[in-house]
Amino acid sequence: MDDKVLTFGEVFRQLRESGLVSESQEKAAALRLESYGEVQDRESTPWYIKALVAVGAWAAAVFFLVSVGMAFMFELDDKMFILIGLASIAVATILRRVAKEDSIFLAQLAFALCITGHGLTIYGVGEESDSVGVVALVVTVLFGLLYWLYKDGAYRVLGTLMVAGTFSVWFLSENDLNHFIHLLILVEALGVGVLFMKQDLPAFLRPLALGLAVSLGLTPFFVLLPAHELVTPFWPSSIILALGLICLYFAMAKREGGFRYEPLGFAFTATLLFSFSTPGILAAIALMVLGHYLADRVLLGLGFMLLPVFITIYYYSLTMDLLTKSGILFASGAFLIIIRIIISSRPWAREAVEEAGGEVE
Amino acid sequence: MARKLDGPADRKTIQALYKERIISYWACKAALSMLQGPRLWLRWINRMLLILGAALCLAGVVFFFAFNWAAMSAFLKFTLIEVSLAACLIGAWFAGIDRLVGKLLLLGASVFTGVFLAVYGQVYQTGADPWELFFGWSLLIIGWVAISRFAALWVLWLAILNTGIILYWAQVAIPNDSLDFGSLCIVLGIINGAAFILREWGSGRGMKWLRVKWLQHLLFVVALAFPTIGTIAVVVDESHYHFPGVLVPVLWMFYIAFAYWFFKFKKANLSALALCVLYVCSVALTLAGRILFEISDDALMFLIFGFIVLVVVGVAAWWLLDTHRKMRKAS
Repeated sequence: MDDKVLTFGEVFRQLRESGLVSESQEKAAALRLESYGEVQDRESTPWYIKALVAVGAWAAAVFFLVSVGMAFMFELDDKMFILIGLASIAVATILRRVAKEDSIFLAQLAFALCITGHGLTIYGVGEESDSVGVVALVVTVLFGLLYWLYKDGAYRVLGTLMVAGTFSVWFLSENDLNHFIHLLILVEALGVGVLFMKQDLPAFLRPLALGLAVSLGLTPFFVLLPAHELVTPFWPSSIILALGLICLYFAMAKREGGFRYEPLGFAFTATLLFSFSTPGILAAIALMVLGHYLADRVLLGLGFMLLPVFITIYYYSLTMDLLTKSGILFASGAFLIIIRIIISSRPWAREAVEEAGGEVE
Repeated sequence: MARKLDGPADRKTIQALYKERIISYWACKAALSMLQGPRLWLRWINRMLLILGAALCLAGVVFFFAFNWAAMSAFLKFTLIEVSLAACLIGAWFAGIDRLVGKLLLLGASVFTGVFLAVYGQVYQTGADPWELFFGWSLLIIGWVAISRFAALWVLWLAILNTGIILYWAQVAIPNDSLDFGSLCIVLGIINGAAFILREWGSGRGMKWLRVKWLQHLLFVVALAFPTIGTIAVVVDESHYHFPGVLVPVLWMFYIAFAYWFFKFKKANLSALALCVLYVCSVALTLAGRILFEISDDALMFLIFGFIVLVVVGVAAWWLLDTHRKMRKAS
């Protein structure tokens, strides 16, 4: 079932047979590959090690916050919490900048202090202003500054989530602002599309792209709150995400150098049909399609995890009896299987299989 | 590891070679198409449609039964379930169990077996406990599981077996005081550990269907999870300090030592070592927390514990990075 992984040697052999590279180009590429490997070895830290460090810092920050809260909760006023929070962030930033690349403990300590500082600042601002909007704006300004000053990928991802999260909470907490949640989804979708499809995305922007992808997957949860809790329907987000997906198909087709109308037609129709469901399903599909196209396992994994959750929420929320729901579920499943059979029988599908000399299962 | 011509090709490096004008635009395009050609898209889309379609159909069937259950006669209930079961088996026969369709139909038949047992127990009021249903279910489908060569079905079977054991503990062992929590963790740890070992042995013997990475990770996580939970329980609660449950930390340490040897020297796998490290950190921090907060639970202790978390995780991350560098140099 698994594809044999192509090596560089096999790729270049096929390119040579097609006359697209010469022997000298292949030798130059082989020499260059050696130096890429060395650079990437120095730069690459597996994501799970970064996640371990981030989780450790989070946990430590929670204990720091509890400690500060227990010691000073009833003795300091809200302004002092803000000052201590900002001071903690400043110390964290300096610590991060002076810490050497392989100094894990200092990097972790800085991260923990940074999160603690954010927690104290958010608490102080929230208590002082009594407004979620002000908190959201302060978090955004802090994030904007620290994105450049605090050079840490984990912070940049979490900071993006913090900004998206506080804005979501703000929009949902005031009825007049409920509709702006769709604007947030639009910004996230645009950000994900533009950043991930950019050919030469600078390394420092990748955490922002990843943070936006995660928040794109999570924000639809807020849109799907029961009707009596929100005064906005979810169809605007569905339309935004459906259009975003269609633009993504076009961008991918253009980059691959050809528009095949029938496959694109299938993709468009499927997307338009899914737009009648929840925006979460479309967001999960977008992450999966992008993840598969870019061979990005994080995006793919995120999409895989979110799709069944949103499908379950969608069918659960249908205000119908179980008999009708069972019919709709079965019909949906049968429809997908029929589409699969139709796609497999199309000439362009058979052509693709024959070209590659393999099966599609 | 330096990139060489016999290393796995990736999009990013191909694009970098084009950017540096080492290969032409058309060579880059052709290379990217090889790595992410239409066939791979088709395969991915076909699989998604099949799995999603099958899951939705199955859910539709379940909801149908749920709606009509009370109104259905016993005869109708059994007929529907058995017809579905037979249809899955006949479909698997014709599709062939070498194909994904056949394997999914066999999975469907296995699920319907469980449904049948549940309905049987409900209709005839046999008085059987749920743990008996799960054990019976696992026994009845073992033949299909064995011939299916389908990792997902093996995982389902293990899940059913684990559920049966946990239910037995909750419904029989606890009232009779015959099996404590630590012993339960030992039993589950041994069963899932055996599954992991068998998977490694099988994949080394050429059983390609076992070589899916997610299966290795899932079995490893579950095998180590129960002894870890048991060890944490022993650390936290003195009521677990009795034989044989108190031996669960011994099993846990044995598993950690084995996993260290296996994934560092036999089949280098940094992500599995990272999981090991995560479990070790959990136990170490639980122990540290227990000691600290028994002394006092004031603000200073929380501050100290925060630093302990940083030190423990920092050491763990440093060791993993060092191991990562050594593995790269060795490969």
